[in-house]
Amino acid sequence: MKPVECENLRITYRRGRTVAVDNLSFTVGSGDIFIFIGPDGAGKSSTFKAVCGVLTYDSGKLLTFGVDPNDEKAFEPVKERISFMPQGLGQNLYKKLSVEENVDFFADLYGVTGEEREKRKKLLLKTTGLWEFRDRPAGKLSGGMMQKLSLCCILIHRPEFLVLDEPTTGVDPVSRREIWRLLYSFNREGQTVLVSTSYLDEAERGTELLLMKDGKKVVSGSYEDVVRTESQAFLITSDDPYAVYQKLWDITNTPRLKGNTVRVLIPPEKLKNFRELQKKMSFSAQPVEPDLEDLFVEKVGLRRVVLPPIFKPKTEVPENAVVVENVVKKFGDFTAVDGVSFTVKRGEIFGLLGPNGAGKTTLIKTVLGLYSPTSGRISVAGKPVGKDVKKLIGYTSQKFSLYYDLTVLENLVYWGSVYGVSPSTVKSLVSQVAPVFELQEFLNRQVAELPLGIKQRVALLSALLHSPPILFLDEPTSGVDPVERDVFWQVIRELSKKFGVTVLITTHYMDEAEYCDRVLLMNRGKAVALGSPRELKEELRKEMGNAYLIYTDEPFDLEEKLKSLGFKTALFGRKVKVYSLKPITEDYLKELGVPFKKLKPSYITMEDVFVFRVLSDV
Amino acid sequence: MKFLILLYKEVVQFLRNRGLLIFAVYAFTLDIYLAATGIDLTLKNASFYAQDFDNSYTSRELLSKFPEPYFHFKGYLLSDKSVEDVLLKDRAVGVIRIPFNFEKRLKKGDRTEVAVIVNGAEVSASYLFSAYATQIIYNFITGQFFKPPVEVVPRIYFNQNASSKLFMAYSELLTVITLFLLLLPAAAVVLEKERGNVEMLTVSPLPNIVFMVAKSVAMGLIVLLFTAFALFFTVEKVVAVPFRGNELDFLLLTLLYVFTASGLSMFIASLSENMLQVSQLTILLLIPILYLSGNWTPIEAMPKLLQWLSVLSPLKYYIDGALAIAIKGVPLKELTSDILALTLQGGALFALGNYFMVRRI
Repeated sequence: MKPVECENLRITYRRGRTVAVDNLSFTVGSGDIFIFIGPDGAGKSSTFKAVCGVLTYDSGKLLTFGVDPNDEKAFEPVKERISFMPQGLGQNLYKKLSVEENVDFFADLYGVTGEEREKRKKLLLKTTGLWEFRDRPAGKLSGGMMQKLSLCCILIHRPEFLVLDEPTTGVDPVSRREIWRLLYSFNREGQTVLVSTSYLDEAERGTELLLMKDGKKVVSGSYEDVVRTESQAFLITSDDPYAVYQKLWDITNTPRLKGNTVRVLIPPEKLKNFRELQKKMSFSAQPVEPDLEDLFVEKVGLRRVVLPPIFKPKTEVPENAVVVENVVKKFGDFTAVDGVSFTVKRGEIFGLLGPNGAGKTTLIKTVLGLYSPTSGRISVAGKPVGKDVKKLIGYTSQKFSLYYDLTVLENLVYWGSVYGVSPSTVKSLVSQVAPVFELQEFLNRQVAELPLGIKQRVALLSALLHSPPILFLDEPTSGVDPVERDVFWQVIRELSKKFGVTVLITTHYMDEAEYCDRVLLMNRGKAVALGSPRELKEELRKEMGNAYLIYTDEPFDLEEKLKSLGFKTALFGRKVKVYSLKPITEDYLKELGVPFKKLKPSYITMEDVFVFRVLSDV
Repeated sequence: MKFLILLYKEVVQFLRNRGLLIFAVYAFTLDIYLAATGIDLTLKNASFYAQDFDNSYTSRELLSKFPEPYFHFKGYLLSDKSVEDVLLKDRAVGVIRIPFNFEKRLKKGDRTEVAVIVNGAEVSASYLFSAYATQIIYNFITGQFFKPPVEVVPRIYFNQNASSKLFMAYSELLTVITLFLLLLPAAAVVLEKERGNVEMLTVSPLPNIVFMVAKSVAMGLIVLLFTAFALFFTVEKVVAVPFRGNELDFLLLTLLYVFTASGLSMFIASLSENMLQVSQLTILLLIPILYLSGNWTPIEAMPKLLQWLSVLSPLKYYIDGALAIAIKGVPLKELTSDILALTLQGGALFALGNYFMVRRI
């Protein structure tokens, strides 16, 4: 019997006024690692809750192990076979109990006792690296460790079917890889995993994937079958990538400027125009395999954003726009930021990257003067943050600074006047900018009713009303889809490149590093690496060599084998990523006696940088 | 201009918060009406029994003097056991016991006793019952049998019927005003804390104090508007009790009180992290303020220590002044001591409350 069979599922809230899931069909086969991917509000959580019988669905056919979850009585015995982990970090844990006590509690709950319990507990805690922390209270663990412990607690009783709602959101890349490893080892015992994520780069890690947007399915199937675009994907490198990027908009609505490269999808009929452009501008274009983001972008299409010059700052800031020297911030005996130094140059996009709890937000708040540093020196626009510096700063906090019960226009007028911009100026500015931000139809609607992406744009606009020369943005892109994210980054880039605005931005999406001029990687309050994304990746490539993907049916055995041969590896579903200074060819693998199905060259990613810098740090 | 936009935003947000708006409308209308008409400090429909051992013409005549609607005669009882029974089961507020030879002894001019047994579990009703009953019995006997040398003639000024409706209506209005002045500014500030907007404002060039003052002023204006509405509509039209003074005087005095109470509200806001804490602290602060104000118990009847502490309750001065205007028709300019106390206390609390709030952000 299949773990889940679903046809035309429909889930609504507020008595049908909000449609969360519409016309969704999918089947989870036994032994699958089935991944749901989509931005926040796509309907992933609702679907999972319906599958587990936590939420009543409206219509369609849904069977979990052959039983309708809406039929509460009949579904009761099925619940024993499922383990559901809701969204959020460590939701099911008892924060005051130690790691071991938590696991014991869940073992007792599920009737796992005696030697069986001890054996399994040791195995789980050792695989996740929690064994040495077994006496620490769960509340004192980092986000990633908490999430791993949550999983251990669920896995202690070997459920047949594991349903995990965003287990890796905001978790550091090292823990993320460990969580996936745990899922694979669980899956290897024959059990089924249904998991959701908002990270597009996690798509490759499952056996099946389903991409969702606005409650509907975009595509589904195995990664290799699904991630195919009609257009050809190119990675362009050039001395002047921005000029190339500009020109590409005439051909297609898919160009994305990432660092000093441009990624673009060229439909077959436009290939001629593309080659002409290439000749004229003499850039190199390497055909690449499309990824999930390419697919999404091809399906939805991007939109060019051109900002009017009203956002040009009236004041010029010094060359060293933001200087942070040896800043330490302690809360009691907890050190949130531990001796971090960096300088943001005028007009630069500077990214603070790191998992939840790394100290990014604390650092940005300390720089802004919301917290006073325990030690160290900070200057913004050449001065410590005071009244005259505040006028030069635009800021959006993690929670967005909007009043949900006011309309978009009321919000903008309010924030304008807070920054000393008169209502008439705000209104004339809004009338110019609304089409660029696509806000016209939302201006007189209350913020509470708006989709996340629109809220994010309004929040950004509200921070720009006084055309500040320095922008601080705290996790502005959390949970939005790639198209929304592109609009956002276009605005930031225009501000930085055209108007010389300095931008300091935090994010836990490692792939967003590509949009920044320079990044600071943070982990547990400490700076792990600092530099431009290209430099950081190049440095790692020099140390570790190139990356390759090896396809196999037995990823664990293959990884063991490679490790024993001295290679650095990472697991990606039924693929193993391997790093080697010596070029790896099929012949070389055969020579080494490594069994494989397929070999493909891969890339060093920002996540690789993070993982290896953190691990070499320890 | 900037300040006007800050005010506008607060008022719009209040009006869009449907739950709070409904609560405010209820408190300033129906709640005052219910308090004024529902809570009665006079005796109404008090059930009683009689244990008449005399069973004479005079004894029956005496019982007939307990008039409706104040009293409600339920019947005769014989045994002491049944007296205990009706009181225990709350079937009566009191029992009148008339002894043997009541009539005979009265006529002879001998001493006799009438017992009034009341149910102490119903504190105010039993207290009133015994007082009323004593009066009735005394009047009956003096009227019937002899003339006393002194006659007492009470006359009540300002509230001729000694109607508790008048007092209750104003007392409840003042309580509601206090509640909202404590609650609204604190709620508005804490909502911003919860949503993380305070952080944004701290980063902005707008001084926090301007923002806080805008909140207090906006909420004060809202409460003032509701007060005017309650005064002209609920109190004067619906409950229909007289207002003797000048309404403008009443509102001006309320304006002074707005500063005092919203200062306290800022204390609440500075100590709270969420709405739950705001409501808890509001109640924690409201009860001593009400108690010490003399609204519930006359200050003179309190223990000495509480009498001294009552100086601290801002509501005390407000009640003094407001009731003087409303019930006695005293003009505002004659209330100098109350005004002085409110201004001093208000100024200090408003400044301190806002100072604390700004420091705590």
